[in-house]
Amino acid sequence: MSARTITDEQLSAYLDQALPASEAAAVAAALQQDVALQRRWQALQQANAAVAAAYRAIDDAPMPDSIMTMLTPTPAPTAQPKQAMAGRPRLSAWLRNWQVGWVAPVAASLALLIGLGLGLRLAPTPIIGAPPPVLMAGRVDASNPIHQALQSVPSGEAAAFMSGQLIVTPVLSFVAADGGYCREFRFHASDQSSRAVACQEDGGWVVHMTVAENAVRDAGDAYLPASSSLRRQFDATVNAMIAEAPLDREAEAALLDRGWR
Amino acid sequence: MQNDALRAEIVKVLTPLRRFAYALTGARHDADDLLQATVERVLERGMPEEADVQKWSFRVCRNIWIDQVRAQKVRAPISDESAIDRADSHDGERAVFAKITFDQVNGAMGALPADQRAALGLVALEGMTYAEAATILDTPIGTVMSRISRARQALAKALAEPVNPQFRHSERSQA
Repeated sequence: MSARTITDEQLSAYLDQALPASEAAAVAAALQQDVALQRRWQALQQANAAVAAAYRAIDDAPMPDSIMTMLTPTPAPTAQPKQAMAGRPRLSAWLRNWQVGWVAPVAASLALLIGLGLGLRLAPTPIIGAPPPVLMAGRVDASNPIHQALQSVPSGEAAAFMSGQLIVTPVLSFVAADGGYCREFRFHASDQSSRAVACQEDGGWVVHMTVAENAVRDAGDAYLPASSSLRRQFDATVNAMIAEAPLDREAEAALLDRGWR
Repeated sequence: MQNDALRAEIVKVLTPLRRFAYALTGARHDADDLLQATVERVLERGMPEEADVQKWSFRVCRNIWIDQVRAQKVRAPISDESAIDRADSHDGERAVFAKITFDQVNGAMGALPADQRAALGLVALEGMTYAEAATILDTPIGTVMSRISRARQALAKALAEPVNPQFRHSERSQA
C-alpha cells in the first residue's frame, strides 16, 4: 500500500486502532516514508486531542444538585441491621458521625464526584505529592504508600508513612456488587484530611472517589465552600457500592493474609 | 434492575455521560439539562434486562439530543465559557488562549452533522471502540467509521484555519 492510496478513512481508523493488523502495518510503514501522509496524520491527531481536551473541561464543574438528588438512593426504613462486628462502627453510624464541612479543591475535583466510570478510562495515576496532596481517581501505583496501607492495614488502624507526613486509616472493607473487594479509607497529609474509596482490580487498587474532609484552599488562596451534594454523593456511592454489609474482622483478616486475592 | 442499583450504576457513568452531553450541546448548561433529561428518562422508563447501563444511557442521551435538534429547541452552539474565564482571571493570557481553542473546536463541532458529532464524541472523547459506538448509535460499524473520518477531516480543516482571519488580513495588507 503506498502513501497515496491510503484513504482518510483508513488513517482515521488507524488513529483509533480499528484497522486489521495487516492494514495497520501498511499504514504504519507508509507513515514512516511519506511526509505528506505524516502531515495528514498529525492534523487528525490534533483534531482528536482538541475535542477531548475541550469537552473534558466540564469535569471540573460540580455536578448539579438536581441530578445528584435524583441519584441518591431512597432510604430503606425496613433495612435489616448489617452484621458489622463489635469494635467497628456500622456504616450507618459512621456516616451519621461524619463531620464533613468542605470539599476538595478544584484541582482534585476531577476525582471528586463520581466513581469515574468503573470500566471506563480513569484519570492519570493518583499522586501523593507536594502540598496540597491530592489523591485523584485512578490506579494506585504499587510504590505509593496508600497501596501498601490498603494491602496490609486492618480497618480501624492508622499507619504512618513518610516519617509521619502521611497517615492512612482504612475505615472498612466490603464486597462490591460486582464481587470485587473495596476499601474505604481516610488519609491525612499536609493538614488535609480526605476520605476515599478504592477497589481491587487486576491485583492492584483503583481509587474511585476522593473527597477532602476539612477546609481547603484553592490556588487563589480562597476557601472553597462546602457542597452537601458532594458529601451526600460520597455516602450514597459507598452505600450503593456495598453488596451486603461491610466485611467482618475475620473475613477482612483472611483477605489481608491472602493479599486480597 | 432495582431502582437503587440502577441509580448506583448511573452514578458510575455520570461523568463521561456529562462530557458526552457537553460535546453534543457545546454549552455547559445545555449539557447539564440534557444530562438531567437523560437520567430522568433512564430512571422513569428503566432499561432492558440485558442492556448495559453505560451504553443504554449514552444511547438515551443521544436520542434526546437528536429530538431536541430536530425540534430546533436547542439554540445554535454559543460558547458559554464565562465560568472558565472568571476562574482564570488571574491568568488572562491563559484564559484567552483557552477560550480561542475552545471556541474553535466547539465551532467546528457545531458545524458537523448531528450523527458525525455524536460519533466523534463517543470515540474521540470517551475512547469507545467503533463497535461500542455502533451499538449506541444503532448503526453499522462501517457507518461509524466513515462518520468519524469525515468529522475528523472537517475538524482538522477548521483547526488549521487562522484563529483570527481579520488579523491575518491586516498583516497581508501591510506587506
